[in-house]
Amino acid sequence: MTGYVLRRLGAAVLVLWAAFTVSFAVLYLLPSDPVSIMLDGANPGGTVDPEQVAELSARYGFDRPPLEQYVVLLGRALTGDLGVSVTSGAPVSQLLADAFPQTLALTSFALGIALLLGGAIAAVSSWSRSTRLRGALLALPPLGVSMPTFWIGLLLLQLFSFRLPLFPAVGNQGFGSLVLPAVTLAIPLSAVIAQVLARSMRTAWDAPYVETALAKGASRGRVQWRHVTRNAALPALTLLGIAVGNLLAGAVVVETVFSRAGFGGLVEKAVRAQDIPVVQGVVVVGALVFVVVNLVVDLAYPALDPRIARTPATA
Amino acid sequence: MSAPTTPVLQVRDLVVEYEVHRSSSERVQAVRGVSFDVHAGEAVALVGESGSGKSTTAHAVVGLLPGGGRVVGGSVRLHGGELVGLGAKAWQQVRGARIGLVPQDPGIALNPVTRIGDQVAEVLRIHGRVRRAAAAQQAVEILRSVGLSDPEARARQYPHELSGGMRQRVLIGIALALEPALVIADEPTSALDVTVQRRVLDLLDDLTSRTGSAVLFITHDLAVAADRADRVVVMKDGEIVEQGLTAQVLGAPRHPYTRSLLAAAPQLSVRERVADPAPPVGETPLLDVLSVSKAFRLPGGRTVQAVDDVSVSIPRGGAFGLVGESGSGKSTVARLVLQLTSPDSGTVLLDGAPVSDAAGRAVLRRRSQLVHQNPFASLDPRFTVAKIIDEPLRSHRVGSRSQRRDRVDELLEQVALGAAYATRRPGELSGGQRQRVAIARALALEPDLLVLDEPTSALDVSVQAQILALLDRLRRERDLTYLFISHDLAVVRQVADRVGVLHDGRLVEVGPTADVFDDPHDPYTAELVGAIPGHRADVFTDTLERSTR
Repeated sequence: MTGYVLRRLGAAVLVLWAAFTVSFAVLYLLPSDPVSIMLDGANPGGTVDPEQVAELSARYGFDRPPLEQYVVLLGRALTGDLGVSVTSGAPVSQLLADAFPQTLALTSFALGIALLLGGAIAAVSSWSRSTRLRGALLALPPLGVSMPTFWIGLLLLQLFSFRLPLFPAVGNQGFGSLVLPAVTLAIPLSAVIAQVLARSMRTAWDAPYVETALAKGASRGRVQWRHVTRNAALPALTLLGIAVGNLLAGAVVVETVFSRAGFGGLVEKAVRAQDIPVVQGVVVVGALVFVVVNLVVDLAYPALDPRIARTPATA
Repeated sequence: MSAPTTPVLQVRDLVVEYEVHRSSSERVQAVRGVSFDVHAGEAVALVGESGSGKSTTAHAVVGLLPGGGRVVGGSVRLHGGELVGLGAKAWQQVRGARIGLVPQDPGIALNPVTRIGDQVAEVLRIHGRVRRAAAAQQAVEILRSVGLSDPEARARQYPHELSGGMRQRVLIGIALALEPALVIADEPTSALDVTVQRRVLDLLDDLTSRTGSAVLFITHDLAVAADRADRVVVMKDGEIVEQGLTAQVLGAPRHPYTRSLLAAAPQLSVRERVADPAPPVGETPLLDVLSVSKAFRLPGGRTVQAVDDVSVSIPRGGAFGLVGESGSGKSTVARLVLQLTSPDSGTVLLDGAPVSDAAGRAVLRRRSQLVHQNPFASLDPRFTVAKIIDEPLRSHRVGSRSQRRDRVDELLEQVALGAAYATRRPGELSGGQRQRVAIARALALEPDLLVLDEPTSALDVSVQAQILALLDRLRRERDLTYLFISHDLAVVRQVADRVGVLHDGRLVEVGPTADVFDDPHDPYTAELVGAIPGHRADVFTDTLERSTR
């Protein structure tokens, strides 16, 4: 068991390091002059002052060999220092810390909705013996997947904010402002969850252990809850680790549609201004979230499936 | 056994239909007007080959027909009460409490992510309204009653931590937990080794006689039916062809189908076949396995000695049967012979030359072929039969295209399929036909040695008998040499002239087939031979032989 945890942790650290290294290579080493990009971004169309260029190069260490730059930046990142924003001069870690809670609230709420909605569709469709209900429910996921996020967002705004003034259209004030963006973000994910879960639940219903349970006199509801759901959750769990990455990407779009402060706004501004330290900070934090979620998934696996980490330990 | 007034189970004119396809209204009748009784304290065996409707009948009795199947006619009465047409709630009170089911494959019939104790306790919780703690305590007692050592520890384990035999004991415990009036055992031991099979069936006998439950056995194995059942019901194509007392049906079968089943059953027909005398010894043996050993590393750092100092010598034209239960190392020996894995020590000689170097391996690839256990998995479903048989010819660049086509036709004739099968695909063939294709493929390069790894264990008895006869004919016609690997002693007794018994990787006994079976020296061999089902049937087959002579 400890070996399993250590291997997973090692892999997580490796992914983080790779994300940092690749983003460094892409942003700093590509054949373009980062300093002039920064100056141009901060002051579009302005004249370039050679003294300013030299000063900036020295400040960011661009006059050093790439390997040295890399080592210095990596060392700083390890202590939590991701540099300062070129445009605002504020520390990148501060900017990220301000934006992150908003996005975290949005994505985790969306994840919760997606799990409930997708799980319910899958469970009811596999439990029900009515082919009509089953067919209707299973038609929903392809619909959910095929609708673009921004369009769902605009539709929901139109319906529940303008026609029926139930929720605020924009902003970050209170729980009400969270509902529409979270639902928008949750719909495509819930569709994917429903699809995968419904399929694995159907497979589980055909398994011989389900017949054993029915032969004990268990009701269909009991079999669905006690036997099918837990076995079917395993493949869906892997999907969840991947889906969280998409959720972050989707949050950028949704936050723009609903004009919410958060990662989305930060990324949009930083990219437009070619604010390299901020962009790299966002990439590293995104990788961190991804790694943490997948670590949690990997560690949840042995708890859900006794066949995984137990075998080497007890054999 | 006197007939009581109401039988425990009374099946009358039962008709079960399946939808051919979800969307179409086309239906096929899997069971057509079946009637039989099971009385208190009685064991009845429902016997038939795959597709006979025996399993469908059993599932109709517990109301667990798979999707698309339903009872369209007849009646099923339990202690006089009608079961056909019961609602979901009423069925839940019958299942588990009044009818227990022992499922077919213990490997997959327990929920893999739930502890054993909880799975046993579930049946008590559903019906008994007992508290959780009391149910857990009772579950441990049930595990003790089915002969599991240290039941407290077993209750906390998961299914994958138990052996197949132990899992089947757990399932028997679940089925009998509430002392049901009727226990349905659906091929309860066909996935188990013979020695385990005997112990599990003994346990089932013992427990059902204690609880007074009637038993309905579903089996394809006539020998098991002969040993365990008071009465036998023979099914074919959804209908009952014959039923009666076991001694009557198996001793003096009236229906030709029952007679052909009996003739095909290897355990029951042993006397009719005399194994060929061993071919002359003296020249270089075709295959010489010289004290090979092979160990495997397990996760967690331990190693297991899969094959331990095994020596086997097979003269040209000989048929050597290698017998063992699962985990005995018999499949590893096959892999070592075919150089699919290399031994830690020891050598394999083919015609006196070692097969371990590159040249030897090239010779080996041509002169030896493997026939795999499962004809459903060993043929590529997208290939035509012709392409499957042609494949070894193509990869060894034998002959021109038209020569190869002639060769394929010739091979199909040899395995008694005929050239008409060349354009078919595996999905259109039955299990026996597929195994014939696999044999034709193995013969394509005119090998000297065939390694047959359980070639008939996935087949029905009558098909099995045909394949064994085919193998026997081919060996005589083409002077082939067989290494025949099987867990089924009765089959080995039919085909092999010499037998080796493998136990925990060691060859515990080797000798001429008749000597090993009639006068085993090693205690393990004796246990193995003693566990072959069908001993009770000896009486019947004697009468059968007299009646057919």
